[in-house]
Amino acid sequence: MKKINKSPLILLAIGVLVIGLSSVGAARASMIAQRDENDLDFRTATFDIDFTGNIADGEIVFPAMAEDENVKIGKMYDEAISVQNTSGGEYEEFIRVVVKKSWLKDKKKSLALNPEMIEIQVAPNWYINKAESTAEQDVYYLTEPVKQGTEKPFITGIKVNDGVTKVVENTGTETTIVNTYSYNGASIKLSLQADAVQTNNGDDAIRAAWGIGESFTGVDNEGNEKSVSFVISDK
Amino acid sequence: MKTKWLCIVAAAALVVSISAVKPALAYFTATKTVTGTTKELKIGDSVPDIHEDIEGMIKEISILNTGDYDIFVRAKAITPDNWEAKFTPTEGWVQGDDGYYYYTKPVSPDEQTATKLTLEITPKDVSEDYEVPESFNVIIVQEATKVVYDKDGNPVPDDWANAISSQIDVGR
Repeated sequence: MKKINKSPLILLAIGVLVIGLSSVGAARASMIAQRDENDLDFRTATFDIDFTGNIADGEIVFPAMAEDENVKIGKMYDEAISVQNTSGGEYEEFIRVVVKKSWLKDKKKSLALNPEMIEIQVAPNWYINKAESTAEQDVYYLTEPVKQGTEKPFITGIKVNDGVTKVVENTGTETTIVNTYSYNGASIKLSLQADAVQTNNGDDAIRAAWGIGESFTGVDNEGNEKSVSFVISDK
Repeated sequence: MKTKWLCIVAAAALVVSISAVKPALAYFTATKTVTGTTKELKIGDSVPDIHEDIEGMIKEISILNTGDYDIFVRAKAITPDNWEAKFTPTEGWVQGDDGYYYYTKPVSPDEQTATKLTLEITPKDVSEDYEVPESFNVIIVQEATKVVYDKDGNPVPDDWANAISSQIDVGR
């Protein structure tokens, strides 16, 4: 050891040699000859997720709402968006969807308008993690693994809370009142981010990818709050 | 001194080489993002127009929605003392307990009530004699509130406290 310490050049040379060798690919291949038919089509399986349903050209569309000439305040419009495990292999996935809601006015985000006036209805078996919720964002989790190719309904409806008609500025005269509605001319912007993580070593994978444990306080699609746990088979 | 510098260089090379190696212990993850925007809400309103036809002592009133959004309307008549407005039921109009006459159907933008509120102005049945004035005014007050819907799409009136109102004086 003493000798090596006295020869840092040797130490440096060894280090550079190790790094150099590790960066060189398998160069010592033997000379072989083979026919094209023997080539292997070797591809790694893909791990993927996608949205289906009311999606056109990569954007969410709202056909039920578009049918009405005016958006009817308080009406639950049936809009359907699902998530699908589109992995190329046989991978199962745990899935969550981050929902962000906001109001646009003149195509710009309006901070004065309340995102909680936008209500979405989701399918059963999705749970909001309350710890991650804000007025603008909710994170929905499926606690059971989703098999490859399986489609899971997520959003089933959307409505505008009738509270938007209460946000009003009254002006006018003694005999005439003029109401100016803050939400007049506003449109809803909905952003969905689907995240998938592997189910093998699920508890570690969930913690590493999403930063939560295998259990959390969840709110179901009817507003009931309870403790829920991911269904992890290889624990 | 030279040795010290060489050690520093070796340590630096080691750090660089370690940091250049990508993390090998990663989990399979995937992400997909989509966004979308709805059409604009049109909930602006303006004062509905009251239109009145007078035939003798009978007033027929219709109300036009001049706003952008469906509304419910109601109206009431304010009469001089010893006179009253007698309500003649017509389809769609009902008499409330609060002195207002309610049109029970939503009125769409640029449309008016399909039937007219019919009121006959008559003297009250009083025991004392009184003189019938040669002229008098009846004030018609109308109010409108937005239509909100239940989740199944059935129309219900919004809070009348947020109603917009106007009035006209009618008489002879």
